[in-house]
Parts: sequence; C-alpha cells; structure tokens
Amino acid sequence: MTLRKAGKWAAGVVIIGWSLAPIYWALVVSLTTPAGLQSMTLIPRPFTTSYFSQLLGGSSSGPFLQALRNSAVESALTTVLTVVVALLAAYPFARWNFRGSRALFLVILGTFALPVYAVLIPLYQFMSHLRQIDTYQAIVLINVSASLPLAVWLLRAHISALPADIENAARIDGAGPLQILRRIVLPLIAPGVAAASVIVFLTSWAAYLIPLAFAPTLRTSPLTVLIPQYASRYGQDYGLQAAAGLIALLPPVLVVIWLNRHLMRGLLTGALKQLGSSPADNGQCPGCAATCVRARRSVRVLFRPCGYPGQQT
Amino acid sequence: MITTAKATRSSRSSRQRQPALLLLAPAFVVIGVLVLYPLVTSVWDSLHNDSVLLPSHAFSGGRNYSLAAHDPAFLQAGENTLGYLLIVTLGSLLAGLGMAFWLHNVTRFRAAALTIIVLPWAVPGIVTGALWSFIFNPVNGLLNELLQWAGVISHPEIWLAGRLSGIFFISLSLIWQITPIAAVIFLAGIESIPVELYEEAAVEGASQLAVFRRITLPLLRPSLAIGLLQASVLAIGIFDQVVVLAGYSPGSISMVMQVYLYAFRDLNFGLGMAASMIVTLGTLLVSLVYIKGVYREVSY
Repeated sequence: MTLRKAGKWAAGVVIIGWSLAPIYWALVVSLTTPAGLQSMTLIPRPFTTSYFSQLLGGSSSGPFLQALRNSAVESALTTVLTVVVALLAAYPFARWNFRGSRALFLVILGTFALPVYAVLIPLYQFMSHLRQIDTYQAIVLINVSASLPLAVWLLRAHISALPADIENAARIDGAGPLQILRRIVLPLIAPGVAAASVIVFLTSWAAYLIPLAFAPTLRTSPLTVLIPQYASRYGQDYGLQAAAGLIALLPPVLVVIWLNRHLMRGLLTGALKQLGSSPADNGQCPGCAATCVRARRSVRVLFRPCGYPGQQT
Repeated sequence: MITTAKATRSSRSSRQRQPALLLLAPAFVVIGVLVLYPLVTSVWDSLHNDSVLLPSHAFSGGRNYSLAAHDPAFLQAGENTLGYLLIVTLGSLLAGLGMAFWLHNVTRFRAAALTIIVLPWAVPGIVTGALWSFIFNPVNGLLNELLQWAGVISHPEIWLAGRLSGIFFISLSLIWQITPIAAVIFLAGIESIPVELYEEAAVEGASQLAVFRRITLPLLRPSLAIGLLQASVLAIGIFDQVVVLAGYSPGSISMVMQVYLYAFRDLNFGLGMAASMIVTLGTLLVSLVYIKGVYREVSY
C-alpha cells in the first residue's frame, strides 16, 4: 500500500514537472546573463532583468509593445464580436423549430470540421482584392469566422438546457426576442458565455497562420508573428526570445487559472462536437449537457455545480 | 385534435421564421463570405491555372493535383506529416491516459493539479515552439546541459538536425501542448464508468489486467475516439511549432507549411489550393476512421 502511494507521488512529480518544466526553464533563460548560461544552472544566476526591461521600455520595446498591442486589440475584438454574433445565432437554434433550422445548423457543424488552411489562400486573394491586407478588421473577421461555429454550438447547448418557462412568460408580457435574450437568457447562461469567451480568446491570441498571411507588417502583426523573428533577426539572443515568449503566454495562462472550470467545459464540448453528439439529447444541467453526453457522473467531480435551476441530476 | 395541433405548430413555425432568420443573419454572413465562398473558390480555382507565372486562368482539370502529388517536396512533407501524426497520436494517447488515471486517483489538491496539467494547452503554438527550442538548442540547451552533466554525452548534440530525431523532438513539443485536452477527455470518460462494475469484478476476483481489458478499455472507447481524433487533426495541421524549431527545412516541413510555401513563396495559388484540398480531405478521412472504427456507443 505504501509502495502504491509512493508510486502515485512519483507519477505526480513526473506529470507536474513535465507540464511546468519548459515554462520554468524559459524563465531561467530569460533571467540569466549570457555568461551564466554557459554552465549548467537550474536557477537564474547571475540574475538579470535586462531582457524584460529591453522589451518593456528599452531598445527593443518599440516593435514588441506594438505587437503586444496588436495581439490585445485583435483578440479582444475577436472575442467580443464572436460571442455576440454566436449568441444571436444560438438562440433561434436552441429555441425555435423553424423550417430549415436543421439544415442551417448542419452548415454550422460542417464549417467546424473545416481547418483554417482549407480556405486561407482564396481568403487572401479576396482580402487583397478588397485592399484589406494588414488591417485589423480583416484579421478580426477571419478570426471570428474560425471560432464562430464552436461558439454557436457551445451557447446553443447552454440555452437549450434552460427551462423555457420564464421566456414564455416574458413573451406573453410582450417582450421581444432581443429583450428576452438580453434580460433573461444572457444572465442565466453566464457560465456558457464565459466558456465560449475563454476558448475564443485563447484561440485568437495563439493564432499564427492567419496573421502570418494577413498581417505582414507591424501595423497589425501580433506577438505570435514577432516572436519567431527574435531567433533569427536578433542573432542567437535566446534570453530576449524567452522573455518575449513568457510575456506572450502570461495573458492566456492567467485566464486559464482564473476561469479553468469554464475552460474545461468548453474544451469537452468542442471535443464532443466533432463527433456530432447532440448534448440536447440528455440536457439537464447546462454544464453536464454541454460537456458530458455519456459522462454525466464525471461532471460533478470535474466541475463544481453551476447553480442552474433544475440542475440536480 | 391532431390537425389543430399541427396547424398551431405550423403557424407558430412560420411566425418564428422571420425573427429567427434575422438573428441568424450576422453569423451566416460571416460564415458565407469568409468560409463557404472561399471554400467553393478553393475547389474551383484548384482546377484552374492560378499562378503569377501563368498569365491565363484556364481550366486545367486535375493538373494542380497531379503536380502536387508528384512534387518531391510535397511528398516529403507528406511523409513528415505522417511521422508527426503517428508520434503525436501515440504520445498524447499514452501521456493523456497516464495523466487521466493519475488525476482519477488524486483526492487532495485535485483542482490545482488539473489547472497545472491544463496550462500547456493555453500556451500559443509559437511560444510552445520557443519554449522547447530552449531545451533542444545545441548551444546551452537544457537537454544537452543535463545529459552532459550526467555524463551521458561528452559533447553537445544537434537534436533537431536528423530527420527522424527532428520529427520526434518537434512532435514532443506538440504532445506537451495538446495532451491536456486528451487527459481531460479521458478523465471524463474514466469517471463516467460506474463504480459498481469494478466492485462486482472485485467480488468475482478478477485480476487488475482483466478488469482493465474487460471493463475500463471497452467503456472508454468513445472518449478514446474523441481524444485521438483531436490529437490527429492537430498533428496533421502542425505548423507553428515546426516553424520555430526547424524553420521551413525539407527534413521537418509539414504539409500545411508546404501549402503556405506554394501560395506565398511561389505565388502559385492554384497549386496551393490543390495541396490544401488534399490535406483537408486527409484530415476528414482520418476523422471518419476514428468515428467509424474506434467510436462506439456504449451502454452500462
């Protein structure tokens, strides 16, 4: 029994180490002087913050801060726009059974299976024809088109899991669909909106192929496009690249630590979606319905209860 | 009675149609203009000459496809991609199962452990490549330093230089990044298996191996299919990590990178679109294999 326990601890050390070691080592590289790196060291010695200060205020800060701003603007706009458009589309899909709704929903599902590179080249020709290369709007709109299907799916699952009674009452009282969506549905599916936002934000913050084609200059190019250049353009300056990489991974890592629960739910939904399983089939708890089609038990373990009416499954 | 219900339903359905289409409009404008229209263009233009070197935009049939299929660069990229696919799928399967079973047995600090395990997934692909380049670097890379310190090697190795070793080490960085998805999916699968089955097996005196083979593995099939599908699709589309770790060198270039080169270096858009269609079809084919072959409905 003690041997088993020791094995469990050893596995834990290996798993946690594997997950964190590359990030820790980048931290060491970014905080050690070039001379210090010549010999084996696992702690930053001699210690220096010169790489970070170079990026954030010194000699290399101009391009870096511009790219950081571009990353922030593009992923923030992408996230807001995707969630708003997806929410509008998710509501009718979840609630109304109109002619053609199934077919239209299948179109959404079909686009999810399509990788970005399948449409990259014609999109490039299209955008350069419209003279939209190197503009925020082109990059944001393409990012939106890439994340939209997942967001629609996720939000639809959350909305269909809500009881429709309140909405019906509001409709009898004369509330329009937009009013119902904003005043009643939106507050109730806040966790779903959080999950969708996190996934969309992480995806657009990490986007590389799209900005590589559509953001050729620093006017719009995000950090992901700038970072590979540190290895070549600035010689073998690993310290600078490590510092830049760490700053670039900070926002997504903070988001994950902050909203981990929602992220898990989103991840699982996205995964299940590829198999076309419909969470509405056993929709009780929005979390359960959205994530675990055949794995409802685990939801209670993985995610804390999310406080929905009728969620006790 | 039935007709009344039907009539009510159809009148309701037509009353809902107009606001529904209005709410759906923004999403379908985005998808129509930025996904469906380019997709149709891509299929259509891949059947035509579309290159700065060829002035005419004439119909060329399957010429672009056969050019891609006979281009040694594309074939090598295909071999490389197959390597990424095999190593990444197997690696994230094993690592994901390991993490999932470990998490399953963790009771204290479970939420913290889960957060740490998920962290690599949040790291952008480009940064993942950079993080692992500090490990594989011939100059002051962690791997060389550790192995030299331990006395395993006497002088620094260039880990990414060989074709096979390059593909292996680049795969490792992708495995690091995407295993969290597999682990979370497998964990959800493991925890959905009813405990009663294990209790019964224990009463019957079944061995651990038999329990794993007869209960855990079959009931885990849907989760395995989803996890493997995700890993495979990401492996076939590998781009960012390779760019940072090895650039566009022929020994490690992936198919999607070759598509990018056709279009944006050679400016042969028709060839690029044909090649991108080949990769897309490959991805869909692999997805189909998982859905038909591995995924099975299970009932407890």
